[in-house]
Amino acid sequence: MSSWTGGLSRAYHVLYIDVSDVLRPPGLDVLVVLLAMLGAILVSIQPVTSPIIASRIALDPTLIATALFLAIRSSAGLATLIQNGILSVYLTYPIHKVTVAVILFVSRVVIPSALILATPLATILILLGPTLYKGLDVILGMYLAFLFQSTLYGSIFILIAVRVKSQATSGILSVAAYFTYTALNLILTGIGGAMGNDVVRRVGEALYLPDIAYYAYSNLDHEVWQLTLVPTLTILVLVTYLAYMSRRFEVL
Amino acid sequence: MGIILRLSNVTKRFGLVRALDNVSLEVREGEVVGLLGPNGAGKTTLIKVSLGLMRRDSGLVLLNGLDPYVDPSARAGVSVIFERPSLPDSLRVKDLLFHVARIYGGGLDDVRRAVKLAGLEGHEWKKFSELSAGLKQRAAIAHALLANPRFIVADEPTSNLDPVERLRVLELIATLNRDEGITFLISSHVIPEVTRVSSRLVVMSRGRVVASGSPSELLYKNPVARIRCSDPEKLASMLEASGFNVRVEGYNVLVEVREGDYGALLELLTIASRNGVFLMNVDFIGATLEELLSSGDST
Repeated sequence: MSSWTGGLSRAYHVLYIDVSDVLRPPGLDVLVVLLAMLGAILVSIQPVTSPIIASRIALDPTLIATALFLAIRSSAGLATLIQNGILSVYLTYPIHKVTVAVILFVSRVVIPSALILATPLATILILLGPTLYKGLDVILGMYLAFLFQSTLYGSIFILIAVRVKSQATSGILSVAAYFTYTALNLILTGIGGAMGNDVVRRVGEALYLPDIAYYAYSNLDHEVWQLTLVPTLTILVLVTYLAYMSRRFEVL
Repeated sequence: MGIILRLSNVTKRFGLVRALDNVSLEVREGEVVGLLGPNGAGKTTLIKVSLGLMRRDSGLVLLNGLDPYVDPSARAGVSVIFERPSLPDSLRVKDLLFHVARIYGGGLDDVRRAVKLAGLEGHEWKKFSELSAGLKQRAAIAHALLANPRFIVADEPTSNLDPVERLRVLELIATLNRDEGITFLISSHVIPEVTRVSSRLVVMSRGRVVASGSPSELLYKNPVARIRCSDPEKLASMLEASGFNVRVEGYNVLVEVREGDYGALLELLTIASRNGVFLMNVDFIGATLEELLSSGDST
């Protein structure tokens, strides 16, 4: 076995152990059932035929639930992992700190986000299948936009967790960061619109990628750079998180 | 014997506090090194810096010849048992151990061997939180054994255990050192526990190494003989007359014994016995942690 595949195998087993912790019941299982029901109720109340509208109806409320799940289970959960010494155990394995950091990002942000956001989509595809199958590419595009938005929130949350290393503090700060970000999105959009400042308005809008994806699919007014703001911010936060983990992070 | 761990002039600060102050230390293959010191002496910090889990501000750390903070392969063949045994609780212990064995390139056979060596048989199907404190420590030891370690670092491995479990864990450490040839660095603030298994002691205080040597060199250099007898006042006066430094505590006579004094002491005890002093017990008490620290501070 080459060192590259050996490293990948080691990373897979650490990922398996950590994902088991993130997905342990109760938590994600209950949320998934509730969101599946919510998806079913929403599209029953408002049966739509447009894939764009259907995915927004299903995913807008789901993103809030995803953000709160990430704040509690991922951010506070990661801080707990630091506090109770399990992260120290991970770091004693012969794998690099950056690899551990990437594993934590995948297990605590990417996988839960992907699962939670996919749940209501699966429900509406079952219920409204014949009318939505023709727009599967649009639904997938909207799903990726929501997934990127969720990944940005999650990246911020785990950066908070590894910095403050306290379960309660990281949970509270993560929730506060989510509402601050959302408020910033609304305030910039509102101020930009009211003052007629197009740049500020567009920056405000671009902070919420699903809106821009919606504009793009609906041929509404948008600029291409607006599609890149959230992915760019995600990459910046991720690089900061990985750099912090590899250069500054210390266990308690 | 090769050197597994080398620290040279390592300093680590937390703000204004020097948790490690110019610490130098070596651990050689096959040794059991006991790291002694009161709470806050810097033992845990030294362990974390040695494993690369914490940055150092200055100095050199080489684990298996590599810097563990930079190169994770320095930790190959090195395992850790932390003070509070903590393993992920979402999997059953056996499943968790299987995945950890895979991290080290092992498999189920390694898990069975580690479970057997650690004395965890019959409990491996439970989750970590369902184990008693002693079994949690055994699970942590089984976890440590999966690395096929040449070197195990144990941070206060008996601190949360009852006396019976403490003894069992220490016996297990001694067995692993003797039969498997595993090198150990064990931290503790309880001298009798560490001396039970250690071939060498390193004493720390306020972030500095204040003394090091074999247990006999450090603890029994100037031991105190505690003699329990029927007439302590009479025995004490006999010993004092022969130049011994003596004090009486109840039925015990405490005598400071220097190197070369043993023969004279035994002769005096024989004479005292012939003169009607009934000797019930004689034992030698090693230095206490406080005495070690004060002797280290004075050097």
